[in-house]
Amino acid sequence: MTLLSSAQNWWRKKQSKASAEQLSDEQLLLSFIAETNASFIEILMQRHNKALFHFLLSLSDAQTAEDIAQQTWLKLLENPERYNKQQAAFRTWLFTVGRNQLFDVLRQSARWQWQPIEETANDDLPAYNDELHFTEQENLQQRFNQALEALPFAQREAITLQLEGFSLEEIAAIIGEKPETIKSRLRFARKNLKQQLEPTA
Amino acid sequence: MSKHNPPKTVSLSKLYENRKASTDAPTSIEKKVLAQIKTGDEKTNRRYRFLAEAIVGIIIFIIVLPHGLQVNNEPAVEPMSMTELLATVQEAKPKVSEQLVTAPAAKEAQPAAERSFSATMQADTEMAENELTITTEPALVAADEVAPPAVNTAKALSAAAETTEPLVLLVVDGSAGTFTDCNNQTITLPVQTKLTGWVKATLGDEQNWSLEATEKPDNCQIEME
Repeated sequence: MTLLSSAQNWWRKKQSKASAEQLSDEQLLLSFIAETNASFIEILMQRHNKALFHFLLSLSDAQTAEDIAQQTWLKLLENPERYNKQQAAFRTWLFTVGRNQLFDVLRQSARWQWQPIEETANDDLPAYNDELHFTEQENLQQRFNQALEALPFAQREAITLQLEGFSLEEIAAIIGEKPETIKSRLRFARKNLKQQLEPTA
Repeated sequence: MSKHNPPKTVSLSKLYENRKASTDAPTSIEKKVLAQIKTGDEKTNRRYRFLAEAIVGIIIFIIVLPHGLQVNNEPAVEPMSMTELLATVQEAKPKVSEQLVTAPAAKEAQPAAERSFSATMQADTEMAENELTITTEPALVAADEVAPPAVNTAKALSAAAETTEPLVLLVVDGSAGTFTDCNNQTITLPVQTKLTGWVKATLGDEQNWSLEATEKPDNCQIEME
């Protein structure tokens, strides 16, 4: 390959990547299916890998989160045609795949046990989508991190996805539960966080 | 007016964003995934290259090889039916007299080869007889084969001999036995003569030519040199 053709390739890739950044997630995936060009996946990873990793990290440890995130992307590469635009947005689908992978690993290693939650009706519970505010105080961030990690698995999963920006229906789709169940988990999660983070008198 | 500022608050979302910002996804994930794509590309390329080579190989096998086999094994001419064979035999007869005319031309093409017809004449006469009296096979050979010019000439002459029709020729070089016919074709006969002008050449019973002076044929346009 001559120097000129190398330069042309480099320029073409640069142009292609610049225009690809304007595409939606679904368009990027379709383009990847059509062209098998790594730059499309690179952009998708830039958009979603950090959130996916953080979601997985909230539910497991760093090593597991890294492995599962990688497996999720590789699974996507193996069979990108499995994504169905009609069923869910790309991001929802990606998180669903990631969550299922994580559950498989946790089940295999017997590290995951379902923690039953007291999900009875409670009028004192905040709304599932309340934007909570906490008084700034020393170590608030650290306390939040600890409070989040202390939440029961199902609540942690639901609140993390909500804070990632997913709607109630999307969370229900990722977790595979009814929206009402998710709503309840979110209310309990909020209540628990509020109790942990509000300054005591 | 109260001097108290309202206490600063932080939203749940902000706390979550801060937590997220403090954790970076390992770059190894992206590297491994992109490396996998490149490996996949190479595999795909290798697969496509192999596929392309295989297709080219098959095409070459299909197109070239059967043609090669045909050249070696299959006759270029389709076999004839018996009717066609007989028709060919019938056509072969007049060709003899045509060859009589074309024979000198063939001879002109090989002037260096001084041909003596007397040695082959008898055998060729027999061959020509066989051809004309028809047994199918030899006649076919005569029709299909491109016989060398010398043989054709001999056949033609012997055929002429069989018809006992004398040839009317113009003497070119009597000592060399070279003549020209009405079609301006040079004919060499195994005979020497001192005659000049037009002669009538007749093949005798003992296969020797006798020449006698004659008049120029009426329909002949050739002039003496």
